[in-house]
Amino acid sequence: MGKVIVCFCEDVTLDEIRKAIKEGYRDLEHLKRLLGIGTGPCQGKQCLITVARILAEDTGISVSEIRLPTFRPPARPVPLGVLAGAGLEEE
Amino acid sequence: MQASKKSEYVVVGGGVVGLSIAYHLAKLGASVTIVEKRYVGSGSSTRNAANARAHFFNREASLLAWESLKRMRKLSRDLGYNTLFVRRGYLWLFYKEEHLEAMRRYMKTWKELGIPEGKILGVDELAKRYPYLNLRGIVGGYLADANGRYHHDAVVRAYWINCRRLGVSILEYVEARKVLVRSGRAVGVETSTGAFEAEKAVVLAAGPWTRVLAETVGVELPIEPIRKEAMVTEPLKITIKPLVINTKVNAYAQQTLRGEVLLSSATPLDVPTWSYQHTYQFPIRAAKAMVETIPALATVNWLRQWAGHYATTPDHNPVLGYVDEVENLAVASGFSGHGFMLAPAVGEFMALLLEKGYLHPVMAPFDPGRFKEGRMIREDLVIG
Ligand SMILES: Cc1cc2nc3c(=O)[nH]c(=O)nc-3n(C[C@H](O)[C@H](O)[C@H](O)COP(=O)(O)OP(=O)(O)OC[C@H]3O[C@@H](n4cnc5c(N)ncnc54)[C@H](O)[C@@H]3O)c2cc1C
Ligand code: FES
Repeated sequence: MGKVIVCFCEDVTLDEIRKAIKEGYRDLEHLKRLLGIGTGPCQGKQCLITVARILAEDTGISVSEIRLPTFRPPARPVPLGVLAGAGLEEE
Repeated sequence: MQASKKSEYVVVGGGVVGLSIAYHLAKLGASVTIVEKRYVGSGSSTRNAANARAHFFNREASLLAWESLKRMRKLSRDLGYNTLFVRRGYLWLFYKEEHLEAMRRYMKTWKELGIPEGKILGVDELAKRYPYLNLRGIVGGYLADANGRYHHDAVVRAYWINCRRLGVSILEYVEARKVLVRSGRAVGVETSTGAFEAEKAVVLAAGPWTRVLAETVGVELPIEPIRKEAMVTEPLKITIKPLVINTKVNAYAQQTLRGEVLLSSATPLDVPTWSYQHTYQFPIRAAKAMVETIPALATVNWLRQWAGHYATTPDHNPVLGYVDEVENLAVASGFSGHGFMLAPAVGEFMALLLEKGYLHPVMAPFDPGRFKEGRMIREDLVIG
């Protein structure tokens, strides 16, 4: 089997994820920080659920027990100039 | 790994400071257990901007920071893991002549202390070196090129791996609830999974939560959990080399090692709170300040924002050493906005104090007793 890409934004493969889990990184937060999964333009919307599933398979932890990293704003990329000129008055 | 419930030291907090202390203790041959209520690094150690400097506006903090910066620069070699330090420099931009004057005075002090003193840059020089800056209103800058950035996740991981190698037991998702005291002496901690005994000392390196744990045994520490926010953009080719500081509104921008632009700014919402809730006012304020300073940022896409804590003390300096009220109870917290950069020196000096009874003179001024005794460390210049 060729390379299986799991995180498209950051080009992270299934093999890299499995290797990190073997090395003892058993938390999505640790995998995110080691491999960069979830830090691309989609901020993990495409990949994190899949990585959670892989983590569950490889460790025997059930998917429902795996803690997902916090999803943070913005929902979509926004140019800084739009924010800067937002004209929203601060409280 | 089966957790042993007895060790010479119990360190509460698996942030960079707890890890560095545990690593140095283990290197001196001690047995150490770290209890961390969430995952390693889950506090401010994975939420910071990753900058390290030696230049503070008083002697005590500058000396400690310089000792730490020297260690940070060679950390990769010492820990056998690439912690990715780069000497990008800090560039402060000034809008008032008097601030430039003050910098000239501090440069003399830094020089006396043996710290590379950096240089003042006039407006022409700034325009030549940093063509991306909007210099309107700026009277000059100060470049400290001895300073730089590390990779916070890599540093945390490097200490973590070395702790494990030296037999430190690191327990994630174990929360300390209370310090256990017998005859006026700390003997362990009560946690969510039972008691852990400490034969030599209990060390609280729990960020702003250190205050809460100290209170369980009647020790008062003036540490506030001030929420601080940061944000990043998509990655770009690295063009903005130094950390660019807009001293008018106390905001900064820089590029991470991956090229993302990281921005932060002081806001009126930097208030004491345990919450990591982000605000909508923060990104607007940070973007306004830094798009004004670096206009080309206007077209760059913002991807993420988050919040962490500055564990802030009345003099904005850390609290390091044994507390007076309870024997064998030590703390390392209150780092305000600059605890990560101090971790290499603080870990080493704390371990010397705990294991060898040696109080390093550079760490001595930061003792927990100073607030009650009115020996605060004075920050002479607050820019902004
Ligand atoms: C936006 C932002 C930018 C920053 N920029 C910089 C910078 O550029 N340079 C710099 O040097 N510093 C910076 N800082 C400050 C720096 O992040 C902190 O000073 C540093 O990380 C402190 O490390 P620590 O180990 O003391 O605390 P933390 O990393 O907060 O670790 C404390 C740990 O203790 C754990 N804990 C708490 N209570 C308990 C309990 N009861 N039981 C068990 N565990 C517990 C927490 O879960 C946490 O993991 C910044 C901070 C923020 C928020
Ligand atoms: S696919 Fe992983 S961050 Fe977008």
